[in-house]
Amino acid sequence: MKGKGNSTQPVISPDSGTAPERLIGIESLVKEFSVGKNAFGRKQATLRAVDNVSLEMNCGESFGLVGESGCGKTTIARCLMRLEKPSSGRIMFRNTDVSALRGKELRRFRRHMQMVFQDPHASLDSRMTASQIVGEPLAIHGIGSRAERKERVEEILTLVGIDPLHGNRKPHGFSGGQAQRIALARALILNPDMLVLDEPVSALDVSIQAQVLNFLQEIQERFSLTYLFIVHDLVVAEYFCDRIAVLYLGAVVEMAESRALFHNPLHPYTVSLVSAVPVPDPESRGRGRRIVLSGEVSPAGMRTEGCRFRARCPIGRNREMCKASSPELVEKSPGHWVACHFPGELEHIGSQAAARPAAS
Amino acid sequence: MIHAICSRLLGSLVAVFGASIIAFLFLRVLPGNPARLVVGPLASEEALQAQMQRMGLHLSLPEQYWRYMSDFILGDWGFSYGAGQPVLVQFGNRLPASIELGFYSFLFAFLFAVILALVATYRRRPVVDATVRAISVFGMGMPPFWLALILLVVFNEALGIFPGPGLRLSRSIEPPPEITGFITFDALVAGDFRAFANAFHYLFLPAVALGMLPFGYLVRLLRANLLDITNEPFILVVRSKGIGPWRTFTRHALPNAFIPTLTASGMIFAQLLGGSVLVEKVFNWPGIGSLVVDSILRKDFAVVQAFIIVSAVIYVLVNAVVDMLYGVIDPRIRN
Amino acid sequence: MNRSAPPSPSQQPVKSDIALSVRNLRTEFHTGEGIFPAVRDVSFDIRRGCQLGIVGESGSGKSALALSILGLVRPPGRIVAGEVRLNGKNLRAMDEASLSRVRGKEMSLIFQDPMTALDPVKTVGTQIMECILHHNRGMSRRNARKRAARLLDDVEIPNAAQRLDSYPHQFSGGMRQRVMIAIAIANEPDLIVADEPTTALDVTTQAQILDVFERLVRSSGTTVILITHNLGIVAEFCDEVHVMYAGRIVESASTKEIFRLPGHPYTESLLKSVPRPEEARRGRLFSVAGFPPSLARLPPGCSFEPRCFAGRGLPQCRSEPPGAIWAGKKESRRLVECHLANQRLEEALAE
Repeated sequence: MKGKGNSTQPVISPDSGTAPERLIGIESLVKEFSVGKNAFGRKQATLRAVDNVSLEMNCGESFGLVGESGCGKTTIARCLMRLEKPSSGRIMFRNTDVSALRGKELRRFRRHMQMVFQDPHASLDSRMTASQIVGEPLAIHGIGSRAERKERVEEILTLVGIDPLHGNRKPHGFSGGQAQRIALARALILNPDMLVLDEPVSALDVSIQAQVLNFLQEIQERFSLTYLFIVHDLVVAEYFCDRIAVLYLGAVVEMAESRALFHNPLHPYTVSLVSAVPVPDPESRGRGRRIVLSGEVSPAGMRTEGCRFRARCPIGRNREMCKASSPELVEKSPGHWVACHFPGELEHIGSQAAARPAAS
Repeated sequence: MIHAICSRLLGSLVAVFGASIIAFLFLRVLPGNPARLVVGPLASEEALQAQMQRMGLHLSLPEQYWRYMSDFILGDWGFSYGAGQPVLVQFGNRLPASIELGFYSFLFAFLFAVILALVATYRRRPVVDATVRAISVFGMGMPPFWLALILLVVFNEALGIFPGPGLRLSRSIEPPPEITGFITFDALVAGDFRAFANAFHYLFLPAVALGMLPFGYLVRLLRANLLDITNEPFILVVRSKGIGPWRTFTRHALPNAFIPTLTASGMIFAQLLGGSVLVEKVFNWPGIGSLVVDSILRKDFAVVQAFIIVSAVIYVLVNAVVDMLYGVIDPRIRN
Repeated sequence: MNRSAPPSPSQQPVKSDIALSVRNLRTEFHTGEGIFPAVRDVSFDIRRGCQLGIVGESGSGKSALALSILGLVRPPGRIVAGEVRLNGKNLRAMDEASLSRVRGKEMSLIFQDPMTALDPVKTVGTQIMECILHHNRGMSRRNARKRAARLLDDVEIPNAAQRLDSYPHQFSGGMRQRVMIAIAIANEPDLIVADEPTTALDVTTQAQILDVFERLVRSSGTTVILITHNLGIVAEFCDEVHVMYAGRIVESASTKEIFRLPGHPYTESLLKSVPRPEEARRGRLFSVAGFPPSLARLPPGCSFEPRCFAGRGLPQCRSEPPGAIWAGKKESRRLVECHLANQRLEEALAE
C-alpha cells in the first residue's frame, strides 16, 4: 500500500485543530435493499446501496455528498432523516442514536432535521396552498394557536422572499425558484438545526439557481444551520460546501475540504469527475483536459472482488493490487481521505493519459 | 418466469374455487327446500325425503360441496327441473348464442372506439374532438335495453332493414352443420356465405345495442391514452426522422396507447361473453342471459349455480389471455 | 427593426456557405390564458459545419425555436410567420410530404430526455432502420440492418449487431442517448438540432456522449444547433452562441468573444451567476433579480429591462424595444439587442 496514513475508518472528525462541535456522526452505515422477489415473496438478491459509510458533520458546516445516480447519496440522506431504517451502523445526532429512535421520540427528533427536494413542484402537494404547505409542520407538531401559526407562516414567507399575500396560491402558481423558496420556508418553520438539501438547485435555471444558493447561505449564517448538500454538480458543491465526500457505488472514495478536493483530487474517480465538468471558459477548451471514463456506473462493480471502481478506472483496471483487495479509506494528508491503492497517480489538468472509451 | 406462471395459475384456481363456493352456498342460504321445489307442494313427506336422498341433501355441507364439484367437473351440472333438461345441455344450447353476440359486440365496440379515438386525436380539431366526446358520453349514458328498443323500433319496425327479435338465423335458410354453435363461424367453415351474411344480419342490432356502452367507455379511454402518447417526446423523434403523421400515429402512437386499455378491454370482453340479461330479453335472443333470468324466476337454481361457475371460468380465461397479450405487445413486461 | 442583416458575426458568409437561414420566424402558443409568442421574429444564419449554441433559460423559447426549424411545433403552438431555409429550400413553403423527405434526411433532431425519446415497444434496431428505410426506398432490410449495426458501432455501443434486437428499457440512459445520436446521423444530415442532449445524464456519461457526438459531427462536417442551458457545454462544444431571452435572440457572437466580453447585460448576468471552481468560496454569487417575464404580458420596452442591472428604469429601455445592432469593434463585433450595447462595450474595452 502506498498510503502512509493509518487505515482506520475516519470516525474522528478530520478537523484536528480547533475542534468544532459535532452535530452528526454516521458510523459504519449500511443499507441493503432486496431486489426482486420470487412468487412466494422470498428475497432473491440484496443490493447494498450504502456500504459501510462513516461521516461526520459539524455544527454550521455545509457538507457535500457528491456522486452520480446510484451512488447511494440519496439513500444516506434518507437514512439520516430516518425515512429509511439503516440495515446496520449508527447515526448519531448530537448524542442520541437516531437509528434506534421510534414513535414519539422519532417525531420529536424530526423537528431538528428537515429535507428539501430537487423538484419543488413534485415535492409540494399541488392541492394545498402555499400557506397551508408552510404551516403544515406546525399543525402536525401541534405548535401554537391558529392565529399564532398564521403569523409565523407570514413571517417565514416574507423571510424567504414570497409575498404573504400570495400565500393562498397553489404551488403551480409559482415559478420553480419561488416554489423552491416555499419548500425552504416549510423546512425552516420549525427552526431546525439541520437541513438536508437533495439537489435543491438542479432543476432550476442558472439565474434562479444563483438566487437560491445565495439565499441558502444567508439563512445558514442567520440561523447557524448545518447543511447536508446532495449534489451531482461538482462545481456547485465546490462553491457551496466546506467539505465534500465523493461516493461511488455506495462507498466514500474520497473526502476532503472542498478546495483540496477540487484542486488536488487523489482518487481517479474524483479526477475524472472534476475533469468531466464542462467549464464555462472557451479558453480552457482542449481534449487533453477531459478524462472520459469508459462504461457506466453499474451495481455489478459492487459484487466484483477488489476495488469497486476498477472496471472503469483509467489506472487500475489491470493492476493486480486493485483486483486483489478493496482499498480502505485512509487519511493521505490532514483532512484528506481517499480510498485508492494509487492515490494521486492520475492527475487532472493536462493529463495526457486520458482514458479513451473502450472501443468495444 | 415459471414462478410467475405458477402464481397466476394458483390465483386462477383460487378465483374459480371461490366462485364455486359462492355458487354452492347460494342454493343453501335461500329459503325453502330445493327438494320440495322438485316434488311439488302436494307431495308426501316420504317422497320429499326420497328426493332429498337423491339430491344428496342429507349429507354434510362439505360432502355435498365435494359431490357437487366432482359431478360438475365430470360433466354432470345438475338437472333443470323447470326445463326438464340437464343443465349442461341447456348451456350447450344457449352459451354459443351469448358468446357469439358478446364477441360481435366487443368487435363493434373496439373497432369503432379505435376509429373514433383516432379521428378525435389525429388532427386535434377541437370540434371533431368535442363531437367524439359527446358520442362517447352518449354511448356510456344510454341504457342498453332502451337503446335496444329504439334500434328495434327504428330499424326493424319503421325502416324494416333489420330482422326483428326471436331468431339467430332466418327460417328460410338452412343452418350450417353445427360445429361450435357459433352460426357465423360454422357458416364460414362450411363455406356457406349466405348463412354467414344472414346470421350477421340478425346479430347486428343486438351487437350494437350491447356494445354501445363498452364502446363509449373505450373511446374515452383510448382517446385519453392517445392524447398522452402523442405528447410523448418519442413521437416527435419519430416525426423528426421524416415519418409522416399517419404512419407515426398508427405504428407508434396506437400500439403504445393500446397497452393501458388492455385490462379494461379484457374485463369488458369477459362481461360481454357472460351474456346480457336485458338486451337478450329485448331481442328475445336465445342466450344464456335470458336463460338465467328465466331460471331465477322459476327458482331453477341448478342453472344459476352453473352460470356463476362458468362466468368465473370465463373471467379467469380472459384474464389469462390479457396477461399473455401484455407480454406480446409490451416488451417491458416480457422479462 | 433592423433584422435583415445576416447576424453571423464572426465572418461574413458567402451565400452557399449557409446551411440554415431563419428569417422573421414567429411561433405562438394559443392557449386559454392568452397568446404566448415563444419565438418572436427571430432571424439568423448558420454557416455550414458550424456548431451553434443556443443558450437560454426555461421559457426563453429555445426549444420552440428548435421545433420550429424542424416544422414540428405541436398544437396549441404554431408557426405564424417567417421563413426557414435549409440548403436554400424554404421549408415553410413545403407540404407535409416534401417535408418528410427532408426531415431525417437533411436535418434531424436529438431530444433531451433519453428515457422518453425512444418508442418503448419497438426494438432499437427497428427504430434506427425505420429512419434508414424511409429515406432509402428500395434498400433491403438486410442492408438497412447492416447499416444500423454500423451506426451503433459508430456511437460506441458494444456488440452493436446483437444490441439491435434490444428494447430501449434494456439500455441505460447514456446508451439510449447514443441510440438517439445513431438515429440522428443515420442519413448523414446536413443539420442536427440537439435539444439539451445531455441534461438528464450524469457528468461522466455526459462527457462520454459529448465526446462521441463531437467526434462524429466534426468528422462529417455536420452543422449543429446545440440547445442548452449549460454554459459550460457551450464553451466546450460550440463555435458560436445565440443567447435567447423571452423569445428573442438578444446576443449572438463567437463563443470566445461572448465569454470574454458579454455584450448584453443578460448574457453578462448569466455568466456571472454560474459558480466557478476558481472563485473565492462563500462570496455571494451574482444573481439576476426577479423572474423571467410571462410571454403573454411582455414589458413594452426591452423585455429584460425589469431585471437589468444596467438599464433598469432608463426611459429608453422602458419604452422602446431594442432592435439588433452591431456592436463592438473588429473581432469582438457581434449582434446585440440592447440600447446600451455600444456604450457598454466601449467602456469594457477601455478598461
